[in-house]
Amino acid sequence: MISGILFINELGKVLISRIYRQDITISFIDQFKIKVLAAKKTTNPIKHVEGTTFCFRRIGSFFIVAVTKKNINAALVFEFLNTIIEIFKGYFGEKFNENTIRTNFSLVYELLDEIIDFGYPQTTETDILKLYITRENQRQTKKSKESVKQISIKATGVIGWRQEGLKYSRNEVFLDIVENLHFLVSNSGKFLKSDVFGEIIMKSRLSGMPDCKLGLNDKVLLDKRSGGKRTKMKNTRGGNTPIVIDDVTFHQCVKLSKFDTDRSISFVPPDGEFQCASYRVTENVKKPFKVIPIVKERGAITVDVKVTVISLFSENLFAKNTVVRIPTPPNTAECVITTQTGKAKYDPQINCIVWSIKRFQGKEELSLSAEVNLIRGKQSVWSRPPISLDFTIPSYTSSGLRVRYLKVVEKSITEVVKWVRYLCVSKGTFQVRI
Amino acid sequence: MSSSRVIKSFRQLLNESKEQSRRRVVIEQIISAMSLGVNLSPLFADMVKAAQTTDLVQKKMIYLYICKYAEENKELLILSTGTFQRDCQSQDPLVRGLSLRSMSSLMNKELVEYMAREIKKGLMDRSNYVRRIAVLATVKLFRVSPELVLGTEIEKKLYSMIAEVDPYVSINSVVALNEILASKGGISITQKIIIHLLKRFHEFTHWGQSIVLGLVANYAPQSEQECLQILNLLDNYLKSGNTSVILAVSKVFINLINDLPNLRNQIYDRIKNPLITLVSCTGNEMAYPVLKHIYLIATQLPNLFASEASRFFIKGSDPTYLQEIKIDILCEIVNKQNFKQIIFALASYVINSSLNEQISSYCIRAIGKIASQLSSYFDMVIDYLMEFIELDIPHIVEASMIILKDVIRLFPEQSLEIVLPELKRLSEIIHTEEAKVSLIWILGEFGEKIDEGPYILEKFVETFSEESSEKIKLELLTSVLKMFFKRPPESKKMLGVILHEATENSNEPDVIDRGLFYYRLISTDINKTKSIVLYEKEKFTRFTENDPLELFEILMDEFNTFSVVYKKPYDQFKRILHKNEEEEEEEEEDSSTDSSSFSEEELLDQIQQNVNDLDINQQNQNQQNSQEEQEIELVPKFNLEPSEFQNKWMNSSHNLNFDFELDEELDKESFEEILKENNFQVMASGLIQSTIKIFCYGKDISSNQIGLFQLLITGVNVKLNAKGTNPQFLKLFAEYIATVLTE
Repeated sequence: MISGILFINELGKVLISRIYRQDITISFIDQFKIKVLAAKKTTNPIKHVEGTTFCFRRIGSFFIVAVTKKNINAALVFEFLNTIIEIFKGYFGEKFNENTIRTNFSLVYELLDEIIDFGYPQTTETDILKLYITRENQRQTKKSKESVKQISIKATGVIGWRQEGLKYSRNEVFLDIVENLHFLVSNSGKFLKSDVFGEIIMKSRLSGMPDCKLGLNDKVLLDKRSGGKRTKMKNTRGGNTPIVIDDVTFHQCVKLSKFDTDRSISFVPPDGEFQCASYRVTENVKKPFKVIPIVKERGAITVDVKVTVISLFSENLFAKNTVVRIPTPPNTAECVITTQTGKAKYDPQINCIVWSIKRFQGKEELSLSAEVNLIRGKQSVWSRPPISLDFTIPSYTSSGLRVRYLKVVEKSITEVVKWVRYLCVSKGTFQVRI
Repeated sequence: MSSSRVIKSFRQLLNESKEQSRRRVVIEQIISAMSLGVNLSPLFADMVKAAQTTDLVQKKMIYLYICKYAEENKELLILSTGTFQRDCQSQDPLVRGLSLRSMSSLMNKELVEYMAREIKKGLMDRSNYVRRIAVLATVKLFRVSPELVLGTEIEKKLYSMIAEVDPYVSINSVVALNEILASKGGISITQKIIIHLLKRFHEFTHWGQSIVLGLVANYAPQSEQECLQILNLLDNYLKSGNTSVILAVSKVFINLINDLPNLRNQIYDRIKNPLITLVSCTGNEMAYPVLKHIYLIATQLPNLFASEASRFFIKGSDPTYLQEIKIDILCEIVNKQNFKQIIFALASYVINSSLNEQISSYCIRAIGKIASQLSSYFDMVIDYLMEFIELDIPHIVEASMIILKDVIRLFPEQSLEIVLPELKRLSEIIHTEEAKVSLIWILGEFGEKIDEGPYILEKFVETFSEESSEKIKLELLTSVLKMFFKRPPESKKMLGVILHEATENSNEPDVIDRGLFYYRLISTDINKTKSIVLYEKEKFTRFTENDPLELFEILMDEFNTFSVVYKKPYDQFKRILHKNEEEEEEEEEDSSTDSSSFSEEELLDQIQQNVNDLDINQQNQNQQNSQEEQEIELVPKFNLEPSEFQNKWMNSSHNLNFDFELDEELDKESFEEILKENNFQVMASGLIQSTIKIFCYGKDISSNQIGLFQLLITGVNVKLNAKGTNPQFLKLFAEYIATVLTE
């Protein structure tokens, strides 16, 4: 199991070293500095040095490192490091850094002692950790009887991720469906790769132990419902068009056995925000944009570029902060760009024409043309990397996934306010070959 | 500022602060100083005294302190037992748990009796928080004195505790038994235990689930029906949000294939999609081990992933280690259907200037590998290689030429048709060393087939005397000789020239040697020479030795461990561990145990002045920058007393390790001589087995910086450990030593 957890900064200074098992010595940690920090090449995140394995992840200016002598499961170690980082974010804020660690030494040690014992991960749910980490309730000098009792019940609880006895005057649920597009489209508009990675993020403020049930327009489910017969779905409401989900993973709280028997997603959610599910869809996905690139090399020193972008989504919607990056040859001298909408300029650092459109309405056609002048003489081949797009489209999903219903059952709750948001995002992962 | 003063002031603060909130601040300061590497061991007695507080926050910090310095204060440790015992009786389960965890972590022989008593009580505690800590404490007790745990009531109790309602206690009991019984192959897995654990599987945390799955993987189901039950039950967990659980389920599934051979394909199909999703949905670090597992499966079941090739295409944002493993996978899953797609992708990476050189060479090698697997497409591969060579980008030409040579060796007849007419042009555009060597080899081997063959070689011979590369010279000698036997009239003159140049006008001993060898061969028996030079080569079809099936099977057995990542069975990298443990013990006296790269002095100042560390680092950097250009020259007669050396060695603020290789092996005396010649003073030297160990030092003239060194030389490998006060100088020193020794 894990022999120790270290926090080491870029300069090789050990900020925190918590050694759980005596099979490694502090002096051995130097090996990490030599073999990883001092190494000229960037190494992979699993480094083996003389029978000891270092697994590490970089966060800003420092590394969090798990050291082990056993032949264990690497994924577990990384999941655990990620969990530590999440917990620390919860305690020290999203952007915790070396200084945060340094000013909170003792709290860090306290946390590291509760989440891992003798190298074995223990409680890692932030909610429950709060019961053990007394510093949070510093104001209460004496812990109430109630909370002592809680500690005992807590750990027995079958539902380890939720504290009992929560009360809210206003019960609210927010569902965010965020889809990240990883598309590669040929210059004739054909899909070469169409991966949609979606996640369903739920943020809830609910009293008691609510049973939630989430319904999606999942094809398998809807087919099942219609008795296995392939009856044609009524296409009146968008939410009923079934979609095929290639693969889906759920948060621990989702009852997987129920999903397997009747494809229903039912769970008792953790309080606050959590990722309920992540999924992947590759079939029948919609392209939000059509890009028509025309690139012509005119002689040896000029390239003519014309790019037309057409938004295919409904005119009621719009894309925010659209950025189109059009690559130019490495020996570009200058670009003469003409466009009606948005701002465009040539960025020599990334060898691209960067065209940004703040608000891109649906069913709109915009185009940009440019004359790219090259430096003569330098004869290098241009690999023609693809055009890439950044954008965020609210209320739109490329997979067509829709939430059909969200039921919340808890006797103490009378009314729940529910919010559902959809978001379609690309961060340079929507690419079009030229 | 000395450390004793800091300790004194801390002690004073501890005694003076009566208020709880103030004491807490003081103790926090102590912990933070401890973390920075200041030795606060002398405060032990004071801290033990302070442990009698009711404030849990203080108590936690004090116990942390006690655990850290227990080793150095063995005689005072007994003082703390009173506090530990009292805390084990506390009303608050948090205090009981904390006390039990800390006491057992000491793993001290003296305390073993107290430990055993409190652990037994802890196992019965009414709070499950304490019980789960007690369970893991039994392992620590076992490490100190196994006889108190093995075969005793504790062992029995642990078995019964698996059935506890509390999931943590249950899992910890499994873990504890597994470790205690490791020598007997771990916990005895019965059907009853497995059924119990699987029934309540959903209650466990991800960590617990991973552990249970580890057990299930080792369990041999008794009937086919049981196999199917397990399969169905765990199938859901392939949708778990936790990578570790998904991989652990995969392992169980793969193991079940042995029992259900007819479901083999279905089972692999089940785990395929989750694995692919993991690659794109997790962070880079996580994707790495997952890809390694996919690679392992792909080596044996290439068709499983063949239709998913595009998922393994690399992204510009991928770190190099992910790009490499993805290319490895592409090489494995290539087949007739996806061949064009994969080759096209690889070729586009080669010319993509945003990827680094390492990757483009890697892709070229991959293309070569694919050619050897799918022989029917080799001509397409050759076309690509020729195109790459035309690009005239040094590293691409180099890699392509080498691969081109390999492809020709594989498919001589077919590929020569395409390559031979191009040789003359290639010889004019190629500039780099390895590429030239490959070209000359091709000329020697097949050059006679084209008219101008000997003349291309002759061009190279003309510049032989100006050639600086030994490799090229050697290859040229051989190729000219080969050509001589195939086309004697055209080559006779050039053979004479090159033999003369090699034996009379060369400086490289190897070149002279080979020249003389050929000369003598020819003058002794020309026919025999011919049969030696133009021996009949065996035909072969593959370069890379396929990993033996056994290795694959061992790795599949060790699925979901580091073995897969390292591509080595555990036995192979475990053994290194034992060897090194011995070495470490030997070295322990010499190597300083101070892990911090800052000296104690500096640290103390830091704490006292509350100086932000970053400033210091910046200063260091500034210093470094100003000294970058300097060179080392040592004071000729500089002497240190042994005690002074030792003192400096122990107290140096900076430590640098530097490994390098010598060109040839030397003995101890010659090392010392070389060092002395260059004004290094040897302090001590010795021979441990086959390792030479030398302590030496030197002082730089211009800066008065002193560097202390420990050299460990085994064969041609040198491990240098340098110490001094300035990191930048240490680096210069180390590099200086390396150049002195290698020259």
